[in-house]
Amino acid sequence: MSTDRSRARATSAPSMPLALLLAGWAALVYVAYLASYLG
Amino acid sequence: MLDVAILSVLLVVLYGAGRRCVRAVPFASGLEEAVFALGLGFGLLAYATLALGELGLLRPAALWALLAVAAGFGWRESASGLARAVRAVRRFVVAGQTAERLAVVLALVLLGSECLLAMAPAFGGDQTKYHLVYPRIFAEAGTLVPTPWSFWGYMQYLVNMLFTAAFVLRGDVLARLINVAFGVLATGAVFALGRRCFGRTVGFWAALLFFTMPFTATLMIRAWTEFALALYVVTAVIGVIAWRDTGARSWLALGAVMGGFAAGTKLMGVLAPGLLGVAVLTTAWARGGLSAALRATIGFGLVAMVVASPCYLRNAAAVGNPIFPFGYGVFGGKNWSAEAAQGLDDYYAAYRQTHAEKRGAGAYGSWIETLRFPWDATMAPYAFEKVGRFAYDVGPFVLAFFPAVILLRRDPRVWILAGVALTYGAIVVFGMWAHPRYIHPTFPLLLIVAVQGAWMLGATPTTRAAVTTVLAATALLQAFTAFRVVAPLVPDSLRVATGRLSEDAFLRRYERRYPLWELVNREVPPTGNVLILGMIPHPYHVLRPFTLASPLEQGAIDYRHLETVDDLTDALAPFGVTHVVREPEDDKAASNPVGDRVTALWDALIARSEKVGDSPGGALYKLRPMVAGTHRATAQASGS
Repeated sequence: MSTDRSRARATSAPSMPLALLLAGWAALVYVAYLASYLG
Repeated sequence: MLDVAILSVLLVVLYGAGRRCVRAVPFASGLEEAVFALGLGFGLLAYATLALGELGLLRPAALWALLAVAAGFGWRESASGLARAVRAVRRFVVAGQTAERLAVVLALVLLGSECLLAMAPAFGGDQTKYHLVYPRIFAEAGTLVPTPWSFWGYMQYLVNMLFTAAFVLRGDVLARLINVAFGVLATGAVFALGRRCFGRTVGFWAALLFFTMPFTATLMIRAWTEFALALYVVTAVIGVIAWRDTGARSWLALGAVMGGFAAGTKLMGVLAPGLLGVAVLTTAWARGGLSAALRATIGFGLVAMVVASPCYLRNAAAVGNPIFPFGYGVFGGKNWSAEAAQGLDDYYAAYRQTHAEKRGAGAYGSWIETLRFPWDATMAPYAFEKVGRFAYDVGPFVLAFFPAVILLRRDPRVWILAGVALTYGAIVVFGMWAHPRYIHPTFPLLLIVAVQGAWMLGATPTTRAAVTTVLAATALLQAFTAFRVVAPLVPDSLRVATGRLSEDAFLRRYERRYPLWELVNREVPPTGNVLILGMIPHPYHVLRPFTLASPLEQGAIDYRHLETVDDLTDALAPFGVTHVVREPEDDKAASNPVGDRVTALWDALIARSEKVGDSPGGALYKLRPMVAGTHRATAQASGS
């Protein structure tokens, strides 16, 4: 479908450093959240 | 159960009438259509209630007659919609994906608990301060009565008109069930927007994360306006994005109507059509030049403004200020003053400070400090007002995965979603009040973008499985926490529902002001009028006529000009008060604009009064005739 094609064009797979950066931030937030949740 | 039955009738009738009104719009699915039809139906019912109130016709017969006309108008749509819904549910039960069916079961169990609490007697939150207080007064009077002794009587917008209709038809349980219906509709709108932009999977996860948020549970169990605002903001965004994608002008018109309802729901909601107007302008400009852009934007803005206007017009006519009590410097307003407005600001500044100390810091003092807000709102949601530890918890997902929006930067729809959410949030947080509840309509938009961003991080089957695991674990953790929020109240709510605990006993257990209000209801005759002395009164359970004397919420009793208790009794004369109580309050660092003189005047007034009775929440006093104002009012009248 054209919508799917335009969606695919509009998004881009991240480079490895960027993916690691984003995943690292997400991990940091989850760890801090769980620490505050349990604390 | 009668409340559930009336809500069901309302849903069927409003769906049919709303659906008939929007039949020209090319919806993507029956669910999307139902969300819009019901949003429109509820909005129209709210304004019909307002009109009946203005005409003094706020009676059950008038409202039922109106609903009968709506039922006649949309009965075909109601019937076919019901049949369609039954088929869709059957299909889902038989052939739906297992994960989706499990999620729906989880959501239904949570919803059932929330409904149980919504059906127990009302306590806590802003509902006992104003969301339910004035709708009940309007319904009992059959008209929109002036409340010179409280500005909250004029902060009654679209949802409060629906609560008024609920009181006319039945009572506060129906009002809170309407709030629950808005919560479910908002969840449906999140699914519809997520699916429209990024596909069914993103819509599903965003809706599940939204529904299982502990914050959602808190908003479900009391009468609030946040869900309605979120619904109308999200549907307005759907309208603009669908117009952008399809070019159908009916979508633009419907988006403008929904944006207007958002603005008519809460003053902050005005931001939604304002920001979407920018999206309309830029989109139309890129496609058809400046004149086409101006036409589209002005049309969008005019429709939104007309739809938003009824409650603001009521205020303009009643007190001379459409956004009363805000904007006093521009619009002025009856029974209010610049000093009172400043006093209220100071009071809430101290309030923010008091609660910010719970996270070991102070209220944000600069814009750099305010940048902490997303982190604080996620990690310490209890530090913004007096709430339980998890009551305003929004989960970690948005903060963790919204930065992945950078991967979606080439999608113009993401610019609309993220642009509206971030700008709305920034204006509220930096310019008004950094508080999770005030940015609630941004969460659905941020969640959709965050889910799609997380999805983009999972490029390989392994990482995609990891993202799915994070999504599922987050939803389960949120649902568990939401159950923790509602669980303490479930047993007693169930006892009330099954008749094993009286409403009176329930309220004595959970509403600390209730013993005092019960004393008032017992001792003050129906023809009396009780003066309530308190800074932030919560008078919902007072069933006798009352007058509020807060220096923070009204200016009809203008403490700036009152030096002695005689001055105070003169000021009280027009209200015909017969009794007086001092509402129990928390110790707060906050002060009032007139200082200790107010409480000294209150103490002196009580010292002149006769004690009628005591309760664990305080004492009730009867004003002596001289104090009650009869003598003075008569003397003044004869002297003039």
